[in-house]
Amino acid sequence: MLMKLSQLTKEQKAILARLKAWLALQLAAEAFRSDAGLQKRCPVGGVSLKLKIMQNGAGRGGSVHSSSGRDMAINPAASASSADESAATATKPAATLQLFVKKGNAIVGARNWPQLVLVFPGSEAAIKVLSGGKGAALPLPLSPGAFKALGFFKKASSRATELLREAQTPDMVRASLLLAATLHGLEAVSGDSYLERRMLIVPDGTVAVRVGQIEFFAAKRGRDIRVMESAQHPDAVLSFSDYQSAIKVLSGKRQAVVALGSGEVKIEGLLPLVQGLFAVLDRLSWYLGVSV
Amino acid sequence: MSSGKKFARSREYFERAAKVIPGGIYGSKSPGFLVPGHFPYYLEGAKGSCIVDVDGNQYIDYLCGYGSQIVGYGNPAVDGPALDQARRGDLLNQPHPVMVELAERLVDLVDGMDWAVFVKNGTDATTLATSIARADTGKQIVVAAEGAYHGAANWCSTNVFPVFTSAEQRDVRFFSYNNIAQLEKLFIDNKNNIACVILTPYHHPTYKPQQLPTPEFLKAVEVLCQREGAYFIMDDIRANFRLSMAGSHSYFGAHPDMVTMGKALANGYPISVLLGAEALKKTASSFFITGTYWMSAVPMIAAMATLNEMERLGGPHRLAQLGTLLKNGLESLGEKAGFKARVSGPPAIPFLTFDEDPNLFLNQRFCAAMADRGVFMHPHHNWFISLAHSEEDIERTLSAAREAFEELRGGFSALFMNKIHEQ
Repeated sequence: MLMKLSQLTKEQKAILARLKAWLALQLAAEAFRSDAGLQKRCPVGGVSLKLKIMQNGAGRGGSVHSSSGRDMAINPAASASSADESAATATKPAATLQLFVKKGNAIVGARNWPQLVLVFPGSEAAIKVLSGGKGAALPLPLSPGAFKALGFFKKASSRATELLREAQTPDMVRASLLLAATLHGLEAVSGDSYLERRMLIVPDGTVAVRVGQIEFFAAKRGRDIRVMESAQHPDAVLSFSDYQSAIKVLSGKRQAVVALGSGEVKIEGLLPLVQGLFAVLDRLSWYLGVSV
Repeated sequence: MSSGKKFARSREYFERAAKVIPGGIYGSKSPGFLVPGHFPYYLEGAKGSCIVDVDGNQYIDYLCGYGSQIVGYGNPAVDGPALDQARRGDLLNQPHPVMVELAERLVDLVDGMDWAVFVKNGTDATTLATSIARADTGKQIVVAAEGAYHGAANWCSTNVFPVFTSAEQRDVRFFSYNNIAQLEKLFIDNKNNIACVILTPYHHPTYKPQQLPTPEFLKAVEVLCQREGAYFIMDDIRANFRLSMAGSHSYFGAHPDMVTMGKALANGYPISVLLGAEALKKTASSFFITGTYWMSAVPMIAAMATLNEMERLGGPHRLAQLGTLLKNGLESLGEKAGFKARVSGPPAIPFLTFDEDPNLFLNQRFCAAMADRGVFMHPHHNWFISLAHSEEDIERTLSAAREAFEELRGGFSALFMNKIHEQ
């Protein structure tokens, strides 16, 4: 059943806000990685921006009127260092995204001191703004170039949307964007209490998701999922036969089950782990179907 | 031949199915549970130990309709009387007299059982058994082994949604099969609240090697149940008469209060049964037990004929003989190819896994290679030997396995030398 934003519980709103924030940031990052034009337009010295969503006691261990930021660490080192705090902060929907340009190379990672914090007074405001609607958002500049950072983030976000829509976008780029959005979406909703028991019966492990030259890893530990850039021995492998298949499945144009039956999608290894991720995927679709 | 051509009709049907049937093929028959591209999705017919898919590909079958075939597909000794009854009437207003005959026969045959209730699926039987145990004891909790399959009802299924976990699944507790200490702790933690312990005669979890009960385990279950006023239910749906004509509990020397049987009971005709000890007959009588098709005559006629045919063809002894040939052959071929391939479970219900690969990459590749060679072995679910299998079938299977292990060896280093993500 499709839900309206007003019908969601406090926890669900917090998760949806986090999901929207993560998708916005991840897609912007992925667009930056994929688009040379965007890289050229990045301010000298890089961009550092943080989204902060104030909460009203929602989520595990949340205190009344507390707020917390969670670094969205895209580089492996930062992933590892923040892995332990993931369970404790799983329903604290904030993130930082930083982009650096150094000697022509783009590095995406987390940093402690952002140039600007975009503060949302609550989950609903974040959901509305990040869905393209109207809502309250307070930009908090912390260093010079703060508004350039915000401007660049907006450009990167809209570029991500364009890349997904434009016919001339290379399949590889589009597949990469969709895969990043899907996997980070799983990461964002995995702490949902709706999935708690299900996640506990799914074995822990790492799934490699591959298509062409793109590879992501999703590690499931307890009730959380974390996206990683590398893993030595994945317990399962989910692969798409080509970029087009990945695009069709990930954009919902082709049923995953049909793609599996036709061999466009292949699953190897620890099947219950992948099946567990499918359950989270269903939950992700549920969240994305919420009418804002 | 490419898999696209080899399974063209299977795929065509599946594409159509996905439009009108949730998941295309749901549950354990879903293509994703096998290895897509190497296995058919739709079968058209079968005879003896062989199945034929919709594209005309033939296989020696070791899944046997998930265990339901025990005297062979299309066995005239079963189908003859069953079809004859079908012509004379199957589902009637009142039961056919064969219901009495079958109940009498099963009560005579199965150790320690005094009454029988006929249903359609394993889930019906296990759900009825736990319900009777709960009603009789006035206690709520059901204890089961982790990973055991007792059916698809909400209380025991893997449909783990909050709406069920807070209701039907709330009162089910789990322990590790064979772990007596864990079971004792459950009885301590849930003092006077455990209605029953439901177990399969040996542990056959999906995706894992099978596990036989330790000599002391089943005895300990009995003692604990008796001491704590709980019933012991043996869920023998899967193994059924493959281990013993007196029931698998008899094979392992156990004495449950209720036994569920199904699958091979009627060689594929839809019928399952809940058998119980005298002490539970009054409570069972107080239950309103019914289902539109639960008393249909044809499956009961088929069950009687299946029991006759099993006895004629050598029953569990013959199954064990054939299963041992297969088990020894596979383990030996695996070892020669450099694998730690191990066949677990009773020989009549074997399952091959590779000690070096708990994630089953090798299982999937081995079973895919076997399917490519016309042998249907499930990569994730235990296999079944039937009385229609022959020594020649086993020989052909082992010949295919020799090639499959060789093929596997070619991909072994790529799988396990830190290169898995480079394939």
